[in-house]
This record gives sequence, structure tokens and C-alpha cells, in this order.
Amino acid sequence: MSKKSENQPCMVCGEISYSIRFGAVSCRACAEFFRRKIVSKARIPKRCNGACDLGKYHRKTCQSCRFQKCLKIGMLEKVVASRTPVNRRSENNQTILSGLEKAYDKLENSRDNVFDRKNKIPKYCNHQELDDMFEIDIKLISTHFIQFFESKSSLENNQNKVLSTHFIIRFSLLEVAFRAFGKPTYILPNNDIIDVSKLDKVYQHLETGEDERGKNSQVILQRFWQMNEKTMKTEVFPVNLDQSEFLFLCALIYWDFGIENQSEKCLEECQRMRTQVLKELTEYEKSNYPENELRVAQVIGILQALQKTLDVIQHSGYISNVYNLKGKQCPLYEATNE
Amino acid sequence: MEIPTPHQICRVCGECADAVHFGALSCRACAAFFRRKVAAGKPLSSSRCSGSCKLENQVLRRLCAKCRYEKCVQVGMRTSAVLSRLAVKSEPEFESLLDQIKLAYERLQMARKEAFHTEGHIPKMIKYQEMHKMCSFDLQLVSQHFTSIFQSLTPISEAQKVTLGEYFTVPFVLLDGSYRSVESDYIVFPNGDYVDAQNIDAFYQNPDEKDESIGSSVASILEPYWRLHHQTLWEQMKKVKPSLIEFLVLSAFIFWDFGLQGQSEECIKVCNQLRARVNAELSTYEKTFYTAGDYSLRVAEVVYLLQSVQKSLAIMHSCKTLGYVFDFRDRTCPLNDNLEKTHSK
Repeated sequence: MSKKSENQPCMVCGEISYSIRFGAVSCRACAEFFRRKIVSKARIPKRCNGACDLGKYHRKTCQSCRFQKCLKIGMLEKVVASRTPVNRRSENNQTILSGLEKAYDKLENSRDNVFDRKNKIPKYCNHQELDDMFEIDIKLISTHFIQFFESKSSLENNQNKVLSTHFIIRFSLLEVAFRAFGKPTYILPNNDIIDVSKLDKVYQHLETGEDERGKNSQVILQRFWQMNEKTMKTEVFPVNLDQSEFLFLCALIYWDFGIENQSEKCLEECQRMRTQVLKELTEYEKSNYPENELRVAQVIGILQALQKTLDVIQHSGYISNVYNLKGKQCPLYEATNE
Repeated sequence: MEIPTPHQICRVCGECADAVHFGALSCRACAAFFRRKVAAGKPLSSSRCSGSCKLENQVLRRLCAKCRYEKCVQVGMRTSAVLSRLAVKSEPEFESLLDQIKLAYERLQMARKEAFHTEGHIPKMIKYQEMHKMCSFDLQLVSQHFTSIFQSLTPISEAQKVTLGEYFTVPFVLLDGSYRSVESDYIVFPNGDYVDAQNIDAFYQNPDEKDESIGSSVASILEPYWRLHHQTLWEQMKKVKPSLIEFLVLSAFIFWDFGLQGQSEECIKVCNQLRARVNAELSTYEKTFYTAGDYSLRVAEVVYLLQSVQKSLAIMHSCKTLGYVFDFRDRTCPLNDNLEKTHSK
């Protein structure tokens, strides 16, 4: 690829050049600069009027001028591309994040089909509809999302079941908060809405609209809804998770600890997987956030907020039993007692 | 010192000047550059140029510090104007929250030594009666010497401080106990005595009772909760092995908490601000002292323990609820009274 050339100056910066690189006379530094820009595909910021001095001591100052001059003197992009390995990441190096993204896409696609979301007009959700919707959604989550986690770690079937049951409620809570994107409403998997400031919509009867027991439920359970909303509003929404961070949290939720009926082997395997997920998360934040360790703390802190939210739901379930409000408490409560 | 003169040109680099700085018309960037060079007090390197570099835009002006500095002086900037300002900037640095919390914890440890006579005390395995007595007294020491420092650092109403203090006690005792027990196979108490979590049958026995089956039945009912608790908090602490500073960071996060009943909007806001400060101090600490690997990962591991504490608290609540169903008599955990206070708000 390189050809010998007789002591010509680099046509970009004027330094001595001994060869032709990427189709033009250039020194090693400018050639390497050019290669890096092509490979990274990053946008080069333009901060000048395009006439910068590019001598040896100045060429680092203006990337856009240097790059433009590389092109101008004849460096070819395709020559760089032909040297880059085509399959840089083999299948064996698939990250947990890429697997999560595929699994979540599958889940979302299946929801589009089952709930016909593209044609559906969102409306306020009644608690009976809530029960029905979650019953369906739990099956979809098990089929399309949890399957990924099971394939990633080698555990017995009964332990996978323990983890799945534990996962579903926490995932559902985290997801409705993630989809809300800071709005004061929860967006359900079928695109219907729960507005904590309009709980009468949740507890009204489906046909008649009136429900004495529904009203009683609302009065007693309202403060639990409000407490959880406050936690979400102050601790989860301001973090503004992106989808990757959300998926990392899902993985940490699945491979959790301190679960009843969890075996020693299961604990060890989950610990191993969590360590791997945390490493990927910290690497991800380094690539995307300037103060990555602060960001990491914020994201991990959401797990505590989620635990608090769950504790409130548990407590509301207990109160529901005392007041005999079965069927009116949060439907996710039933899942926690399975 | 600054005189506004709109729409003029910086006499050093030709960019828009916003004011007269240090006696010459210049942009903020060149003024800041000049101030930095004067404040640093070092001679500028002159090996790279002949003293005639171009400085006419915001990119070129950065190439040669010597030429830029010389031009600053040439257009009239005075070093004396910089120096006269430096004297004013002697405000004391913001005192670290963690330093104050650390002092308070040391006072707590000192108070425990005096109260429990740990000097010369030979640690032994204890039963529930002794544990309850010690625990009840330790709660007072915590409130007196440790909770109070957090309350004094929090600029909110007295009522809200009391609320935060009530919520703080139980999770802190759980965290403190697990931190103290990190190097041991047993659960270690403030006076050095310990309990074998693998053998709680012995723990629940009362030598004065003739019928041993009472202790055994309580032990069998509560054994799953002890095990779950051990997995949730104790095991996780052993894996992470937090340093004293990291432990204090977690304590601060627990005090300046969120999602509490009775917490006002203002309190939530103040707690958020203080947690953000603690977060920043944790990051600084890990950057400085954590050399075993990736400090970002370390931050994640430490913050993760907050979830462990929260889970442990949930287990405590379940355990307390169980006490209503079964009659544990005097074997009920002494922390339950504090839990009841916060839960019934």
C-alpha cells in the first residue's frame, strides 16, 4: 500500500514525509489523524474560517482544517475502510446490553401486535382493565424478555421461576416510570394512562361508572399512590434514564439477591452476572457522560427508590386485606404474594 | 474595575471585547488568560517561536502563551491590577460534610466504649435478653451522638428534623451492625459480644424458662428471616468491604432520605441537595483513594448497598408483622418499637 517517496514534505503540515499514505504524500501523524477520523465517524467541530496554519506545532489546533486539507491533497476514505476489519465484533463477544436490546425489541413488537397499540387511542385505565392487561402482559414478558435472562445464566428451572416471579413486578414498576418520561402520568404497556391526580378513573366501575366500594378503596389507598408518585417524581424521573440504562437496571433486577427460596448456587450465579452488568454499565457511562461516576451513582440509586416503592405497595396490600378491599388494591400486589 | 464598552474589539486577539480588564480593552478569555499567568507566577516558555505569532482569532491565540502574554502587557494590562484582586479571594474552603460526620462517628464510638466498658471486656456469645438490653441503650447513644450531627447540618424545621431522625435509627443500626461485622463470622454488637446467625436456637433460649420448646419454636419461625437478612445485607457488606468513609457516605444517604411519610416538599428538596453533595464527595474520595481498579465501578458497588439496607428494612417490617400473629413475648426484636413509630404515621 505504501510507496517510497524521496523526502517530500507532507502536503498537510509540511513535515518530512517518506511515503505515500491513503493515496497522498503525508507524514505518519497526519495519516494517523485521517484514519482516526474516518474510523470513528465522529462529527468534526468547525470553529474557524477554514484558513488555519497547519505547521508542526499548530496542526493539532484545528481538526476541521486538517481534515479538509487531507481530503484536498487526495487522501481517500475507501483506502482507510479497506483496512478496517469487516466484522470487528464477533458473535461470541456479544454484550449483555446488545442482547437486552434485542429481547426488549421483541417484547415491544409483541405488545404492538397483542394490544394493537398503533391504532389504539389511549384512555384512562380502570382497575379491572388493569388486571386484564397485566395478566396478558406478564405472559409476554415471560415469553420474550425473561427468556433472554434465562439463556444467559445457567440455573435450574425452579430457580429461574423464583427469579422470574421476583422480576415481573419490579420490571413493571420501573417500566411504567421509564415510559412516563417525567410526565405526571404512568403509561401502561398497552398505552393506557393512570393519572395519580385522577384516581377516580381507576376505581370507577367499568359499566355503571359508580362504585361504592371503589370509592372506599380510593379513599384508603390514595395516599399510597401519592407516596409512590412522590418517590418517582423526586428520585426516578429527574435521572432521565436512557433506554440502555433502563435495560441495565432490568438486568440487575432479574439477577437480584435476598429473595426467598433462592439457592446458594443461584445467589452465586446472580452475583457473577451482576458484577458483569455493573462493569458494562460503568463502561457505558464513561462513553456517554463526562462525570460518569456521578451518573453511575444516580442510576444505581434508582434501585433503592424502586425498593421503597415496592415496600409501599406491600404495605398497601396489607391494609387492603385488613379493610377487605380484595380486587381493588394494586394488581401487582397479587404477583408479590404468588 | 470593569467599565462596560459595548461592541469593541479585543486589542489582544481581535474578538469582541466586553469590558476593560486589568486596564486594557479585552475579551474575557484574554483577561482570564492574563490573570492565570500572573497568578501562577511562572516564567513563560520561549523555545517555540520568534515572538511574532499571529493571535487574531480564538483558535490562534491559544497557540503561543508567551506571545499572547506579551501582547497583553503591550496593550496595557497591569500585573498589579491582578495581584490586588487576588488578595480578596481568600474565602475559606467549603467544609466537607464527610469530615464532620466522621468526627461525630468517632464521638459515638468513644461514648460506646465508655458505656459498655469495652476496654478489657472479653467478647462472648450472648442471648436475646442481653442483646435487647444493649440494643436499647445503643439506640440512645446513636441518637445523642450521631443523629444529632445530621440534624444540625440540615437547614429545615425542627419537626422535619425529628421525622428524619426517627426514620434514620433502624436502617442505620442495621448498616452499622453489618459494617462492624464485616471481618467476623458472627453478628457483632457495639460491646464486642456476638451472635451466631447460623445457630439462633441458642440465641432465643432463656435459662430461667424450664420449657426449652418456647425458644425453639420462636427460632424456627424466625430462622428464614435471619437467613434472608444475612443474604441481603451482611453478605453484601462482606463482598464490598466498605471503608470508614464509604460507610459514612451510606449513613448520610440514609439520613437524607426520600419517600418518607410526613416529609415536606421543602425537606425533600433539601435532602436531595445534600445527597448530591455527598455523592460528589464520594466520587472525589474514590478518585483519590481507590487504587484497586475502576473507581466508577467502586462507586456503583457502594451505592448498591443502599438497596441492601432498604431490603433489610423490608424484612424487618415483615418480621414485625409476624409478631402480631405469633406471640413472641419478650423475644420480639427491640428495633420493632422504632419501626412502629415510623410505620404508623
